[in-house]
Amino acid sequence: MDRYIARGSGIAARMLGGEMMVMSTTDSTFFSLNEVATVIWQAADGRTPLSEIVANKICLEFDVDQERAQVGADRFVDELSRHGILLVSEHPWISSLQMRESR
Amino acid sequence: MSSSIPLAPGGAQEAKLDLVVEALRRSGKVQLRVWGMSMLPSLWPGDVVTVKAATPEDVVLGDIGLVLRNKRCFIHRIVATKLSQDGQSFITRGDAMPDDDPSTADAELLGRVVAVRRANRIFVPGRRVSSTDSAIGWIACRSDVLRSLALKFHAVRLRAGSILVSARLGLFRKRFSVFEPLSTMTSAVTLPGHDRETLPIEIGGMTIALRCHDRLFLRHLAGRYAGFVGSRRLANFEFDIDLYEPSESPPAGDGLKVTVEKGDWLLQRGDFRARWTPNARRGYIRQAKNPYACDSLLRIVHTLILAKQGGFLVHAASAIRGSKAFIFSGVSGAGKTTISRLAPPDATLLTDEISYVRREGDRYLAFGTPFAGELGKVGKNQSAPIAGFFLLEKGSQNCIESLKPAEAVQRLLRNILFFAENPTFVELVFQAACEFASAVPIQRLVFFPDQRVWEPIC
Repeated sequence: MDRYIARGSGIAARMLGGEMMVMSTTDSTFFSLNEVATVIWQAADGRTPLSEIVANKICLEFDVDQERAQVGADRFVDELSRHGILLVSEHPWISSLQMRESR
Repeated sequence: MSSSIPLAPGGAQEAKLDLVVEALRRSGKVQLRVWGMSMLPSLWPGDVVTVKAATPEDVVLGDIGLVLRNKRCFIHRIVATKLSQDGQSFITRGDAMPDDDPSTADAELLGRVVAVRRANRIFVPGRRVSSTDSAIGWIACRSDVLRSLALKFHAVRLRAGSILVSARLGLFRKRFSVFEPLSTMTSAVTLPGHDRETLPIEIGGMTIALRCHDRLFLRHLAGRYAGFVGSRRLANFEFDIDLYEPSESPPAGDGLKVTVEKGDWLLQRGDFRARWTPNARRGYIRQAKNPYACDSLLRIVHTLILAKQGGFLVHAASAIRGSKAFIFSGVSGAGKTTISRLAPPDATLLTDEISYVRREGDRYLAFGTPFAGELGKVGKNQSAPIAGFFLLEKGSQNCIESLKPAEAVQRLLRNILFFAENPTFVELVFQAACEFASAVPIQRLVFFPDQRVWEPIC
């Protein structure tokens, strides 16, 4: 099952000197993202599957094989989702909202 | 039926009105005896109220105002305010009256009631009317018999030295432990019988006036904040302080909690509870009789104000040398006091504990603070543009290292005073730290504690 990621609402993010910094405004957890994580963060639109982000952006830009990149991406997404910074769904994010509304 | 001044008809009435207006203009305060019953049970006939001169901008909802209308003075509660092109206007109503007072073009707010004297007690009128009081007012307004009975009962209680309302206040005082829900806190406490003295404290160019009945306590604070006593006229905010003996302090639960409720900031710790209404520029603190609660109050209020302006308070020593300010930040034991002691003679110490950073356009200024660390010395009330921000680490030699932006911001955030559990506030502080890091070089200063440490700095 593919996963779709979107940025959470209780966050503050800022690019400074080429580094992306993200902070949870609910528990004040601070993350600085490396280049690969920054690409995933910027692509987290809730509509693009994580596997597609890995294949089309990470593997192409950083010359890494898909299996290894997917493991790293999953670990990163799991960590940030624990703090509510990334939201994860098995469905595209907009579709998920529509499904909830239609119930 | 109104809580108006007992004025004789004709020319004498106008003369008394002129006297009231003149007294307010000259001294800013006037004492008046309540005559009517429209404010029952908040005000009873015979009460003497102290009225402080005020404009519509000075009052907040729930204040009791002195209003001049149709050549008569009324003491009624402000139940609504309205901002228009002509400025702030207001609507009043007696607590015992079923309707708002008629809105007339000539209504003029002369002042607000700041204290009520009843028999041998003086108290500050609350801004909220309880449901019980509303019911009493409603009954008094509609039934001549019950109103007459209530007045007789009131007179009997006064003679007995224990009046109805003071009994309620007495109960309130007893209930009012620091464990009481903060949202119920009002300024309705008994006063010892004289007006509050004011001590304006100016830090970072902003003045907070502390108002208290205890002159000795304020005198003690004045000594503690020597060099930072400002002008009352320039006060940005006023805080009324009510003190309780430290022995009444609860033994546990002293963790600081800062929350926001309907635009008011609520601050509580084991030794104090405070409510601050920024829009009204007023606040209230009930605190143990020690200066530490005032220190905390000032730090928190400044922190909340600075965050909106892109500034912050930070655990750091700071000093001015050659018209430039340098900040040395670190946790306890990092060397803030040490580097302050080692400062060359031509350096002006701003603080060895809490530094004040304020944004002004595209530059940042450091201000002195009265918050002293181990040095035990209040900083100088001066300011200068910040030329460098150093994160302190003790080592075997002196060196300055650059930091990557993310590490700089992360370490800066660790040392910024952070009180509010509020997402909006957290985001403001985060953005302020990022902006600061992009404008001021943040570097690691590894130092060996001798006077040469200042050589590579400036």
